[in-house]
Amino acid sequence: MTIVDESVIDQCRKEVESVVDQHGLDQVKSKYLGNKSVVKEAFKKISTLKPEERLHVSASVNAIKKELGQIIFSRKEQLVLLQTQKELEKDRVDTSLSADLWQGGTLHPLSKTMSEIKGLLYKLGFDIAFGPEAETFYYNFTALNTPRYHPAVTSQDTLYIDHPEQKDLLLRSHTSCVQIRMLENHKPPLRIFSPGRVFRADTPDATHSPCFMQCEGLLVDKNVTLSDLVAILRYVLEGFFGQSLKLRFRPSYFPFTEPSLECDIWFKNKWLEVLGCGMVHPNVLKNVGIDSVEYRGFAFGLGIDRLTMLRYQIEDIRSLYEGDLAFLQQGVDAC
Amino acid sequence: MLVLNENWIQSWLDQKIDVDQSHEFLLQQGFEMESLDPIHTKGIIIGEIIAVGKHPDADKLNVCQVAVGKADVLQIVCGCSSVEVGVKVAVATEGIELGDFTIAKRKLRGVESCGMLCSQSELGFKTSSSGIWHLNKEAPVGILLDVYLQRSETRYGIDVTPNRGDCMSLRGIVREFAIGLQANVVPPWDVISQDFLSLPVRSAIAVSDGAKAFVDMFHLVCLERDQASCELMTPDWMQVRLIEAGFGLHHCVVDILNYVMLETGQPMHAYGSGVTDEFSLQMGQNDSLELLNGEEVTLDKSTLVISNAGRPACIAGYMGGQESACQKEDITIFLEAAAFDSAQVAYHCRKYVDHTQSGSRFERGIDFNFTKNACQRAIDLLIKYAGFKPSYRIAYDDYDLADKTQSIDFPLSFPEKVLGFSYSIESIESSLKSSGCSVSICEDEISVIPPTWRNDLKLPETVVSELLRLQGMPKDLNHSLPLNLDFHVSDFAKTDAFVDSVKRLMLGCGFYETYGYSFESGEETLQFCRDDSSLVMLKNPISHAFNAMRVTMFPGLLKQVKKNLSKQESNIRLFEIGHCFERQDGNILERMMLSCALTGSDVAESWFGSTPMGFFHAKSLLDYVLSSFRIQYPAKLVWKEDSIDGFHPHQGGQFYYDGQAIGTCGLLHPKLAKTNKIKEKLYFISLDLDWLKAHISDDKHYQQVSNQPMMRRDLSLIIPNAISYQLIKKEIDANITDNLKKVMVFDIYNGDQIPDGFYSMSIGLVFQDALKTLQDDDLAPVILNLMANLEKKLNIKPRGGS
Repeated sequence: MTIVDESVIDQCRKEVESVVDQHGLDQVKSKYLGNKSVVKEAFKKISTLKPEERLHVSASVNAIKKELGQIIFSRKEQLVLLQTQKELEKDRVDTSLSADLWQGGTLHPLSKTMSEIKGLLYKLGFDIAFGPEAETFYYNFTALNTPRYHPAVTSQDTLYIDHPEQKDLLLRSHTSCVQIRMLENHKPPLRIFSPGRVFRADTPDATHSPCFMQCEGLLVDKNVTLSDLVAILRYVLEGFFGQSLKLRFRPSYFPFTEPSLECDIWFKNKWLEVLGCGMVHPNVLKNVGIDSVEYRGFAFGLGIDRLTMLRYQIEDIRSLYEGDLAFLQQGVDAC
Repeated sequence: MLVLNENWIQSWLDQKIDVDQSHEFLLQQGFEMESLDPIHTKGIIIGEIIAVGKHPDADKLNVCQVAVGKADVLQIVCGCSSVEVGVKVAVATEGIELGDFTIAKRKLRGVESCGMLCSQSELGFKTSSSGIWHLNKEAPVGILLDVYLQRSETRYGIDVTPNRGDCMSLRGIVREFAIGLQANVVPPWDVISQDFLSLPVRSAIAVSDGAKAFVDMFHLVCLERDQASCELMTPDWMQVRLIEAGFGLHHCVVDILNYVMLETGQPMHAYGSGVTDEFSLQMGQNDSLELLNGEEVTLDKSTLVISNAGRPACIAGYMGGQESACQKEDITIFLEAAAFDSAQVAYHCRKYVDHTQSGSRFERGIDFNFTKNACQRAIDLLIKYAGFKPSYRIAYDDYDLADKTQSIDFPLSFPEKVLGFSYSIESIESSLKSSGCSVSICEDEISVIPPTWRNDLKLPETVVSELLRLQGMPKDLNHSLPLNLDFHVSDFAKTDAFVDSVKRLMLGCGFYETYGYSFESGEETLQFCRDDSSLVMLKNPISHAFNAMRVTMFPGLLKQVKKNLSKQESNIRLFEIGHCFERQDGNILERMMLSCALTGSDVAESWFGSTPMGFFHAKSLLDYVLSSFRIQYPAKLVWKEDSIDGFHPHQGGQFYYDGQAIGTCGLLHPKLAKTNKIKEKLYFISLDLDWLKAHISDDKHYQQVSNQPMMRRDLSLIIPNAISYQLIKKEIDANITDNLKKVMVFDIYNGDQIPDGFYSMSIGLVFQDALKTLQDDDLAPVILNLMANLEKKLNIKPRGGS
């Protein structure tokens, strides 16, 4: 015998499908499974049945109860899903838009060049050194084997400081002064490099700047030769340009080196001058009290601006000193 | 730079010059070439004006008939007023190219013109010239100008390094060509007059003891001519050689002496009729002399002076006096050819400033052994082209030349020790001989006596340079540098790493690194630093705009910001790290500073929106850098709302440490913004990095963190207007010593409910203990105590309290 009509299942399914929210579903649930539902009534009736009928009847009522529960539960899951989708829909943005909210700064191209050169020289065991930009005549000239009235001391090149008490102050015209400052205080062997600003009385144009950057290199040791200098320069220049290079060394003249050489690189189908170098002049070593028979040294001066302009294809040196953001922002590569 | 025509160089050599090859060997021998502006003499011929008529329709134009050889006569219309019959001219005929235009037959106001009469500037010899070129009368009509001038199209612009004084002449450069070409030098001279040393000696030159050491050679020759010879013109070929080398033209005597200097490297001087034969040499006696450049100078005791009849006449080797100068109409002159100590003349060049051709040769060193020959050459040319006859000489011969010809001795192994590679003994010997040295080798020692013109060869090292110059270096070199395995981090390396880390902080904040000049104009600098006694001024600035060293970087940054604003860039964040200069107690204080400029919004303009940057964007940057180096606000670091030059009086201030200002932050003063036409709010910060570096701690350890919950207590305070947050913070720090993790001001209010003279501030205090969960019982007494002290000391009351 049946005490619950199975049509109740279809009836419940229909009602559940028309339900749109959790509240409605709760009402349907109480109608079909609650205390006053046909299922609950049926269970109450079972106790009045004969024992041999009970088992059979209760099984069928249980089956119907389970089926109804299943229908309501799956609708509940559906409703939760729909609700979540609705809420997510509200968060929708036009992801094709952009906004420039993160902007890192950039290192100046001169700093980039310097940090690469620095890295190469550190690797070779050179240590960094600094000296003042406002120097004395002695460190800029005299100690570097350039007597006061030497033709290389021409006032149109060097900027002098007007100081009531000190007559001999100037803006250093090269970083070579640091050679003397270091040699005065350190016994050889010594390997240092010294990056920094230098000054010349040049009116700014595309290739001249009254301030520019140099990096001095100095090595003093026993048994140092010009061949060692050439090897170091090749390492630094090839490291910087990231390729093997054709180098050309030409005789030149600096009062503080003997022999003195100028180094050109073959770059973009031209010979381009990149640095001056040479073996430290014995008088320079004498001036700092180093025995020039026992020790020899070499020195070189890299033009950081020139290397920067070559490396980054910058045509006008003035653009390095103008702070134009449109120019600086191009340095966005992460280094 | 020395400019010489190839034809002239070639005339001294017995082998043909090839242009490309010579550029190559000159470079390898240490001479850089400069590019020269072109000269357009190709096809120019010499003509003679045979008739001049006025142009019918133009007052300023003349119609010239110009004979150009054979029977050809060209009609040329010319605007120059100096055309007259008989003048020899340089004619550009139809088809000739003068720079970027080609001469064509054309009509000038209806009159046909078949060419052009050229000026020296039109041909490229000079940058300006007044009117057409009048060639000397004897110029032959119809021949090519270049043939007449003994020149070719090729010129060399040679950079001579300061050690090579011997190459500041044709003779020196020819020697270098001879080395490169392996050719012989053959001067194309005919000595035409008798040896001047055989002239009668009229008197002696008195040389004072103090002056003797500076005089290596001294010849004075008196020459005479008749009045008519004063009209003689400097030959055109000589004029052109001087012009091409950058010399100005004067009268025939001066031109000839300049020419001999250019040719031989020996400077010369001529005294005019105004002098007597009483010459003497001595050091200056603070007497004055009016020089040829018109300047009146005082001759100090270190100046070597040539006097005549007891009065100064010339600064040795540098410049002569106006009064004793040789004039065009002089019929008696005294020719001086001397060799002076190079350091002595260098002193004259620096002391009396103006550059002179003579001085720049003497100071680099001349060949004292050639002075006599050059003097003879000058006499010959004066005879030939200026109508002179030598009459007598004035003598001096008390020279001490012992140290001039010393040998340089060193072991044969020395070059390899310096260079790291070796040359064969034979090649050492032959290459040194090619540059004029005498060489003797004895066992393992070499002895080199350089030629008298090579003043640069003094040390064994310089001989090695000479070998390197002449023989170059082999392709493959062996290097032998040991590794440097001594580990040590210098203080400089720490500074370098420190600066890099400051840069990284700034990049992280979105700042762009910039570089500016280290100098500004004094006026601009004083806008940010009223104390002009601290300014470091330059003696010889490149211009007024760059006459003071920067005391701060603000003026430089201001300029850069202005430039960016003018290019419609509105969000600007720039920083620079560099040295600033200040005069302090007679010294120059050079400090490494970080400076930043910021204006615009926190992010780029977009649909997303942005916040305009204000004072606290700037100040928080300063806080960020300081706290990044673990510099908190200890009692010693004090913020002061200062009135700083150039900044808004109420939006600016400085951090002080032990009374020294170490950091600045503020808004550009509206007045300054207005004068600079800046509408935007522009903020600056600066920080003394030398100070910062000295105060960062080496303590880099990470602390164990607490897992206990944080407790927060908010204080809402009514504060008298005169009390700044800094005072409140100081009180908080003084009262709460334990467990306080964070203090944050989260609201500032100044509205209706607040009594006059007060404002309200809400402060959140966050506590955390390392080991236990803090209870209200732990915090309540602390807060109570703090409130009591705030009220007692600063008259601060709780808001909403009694």
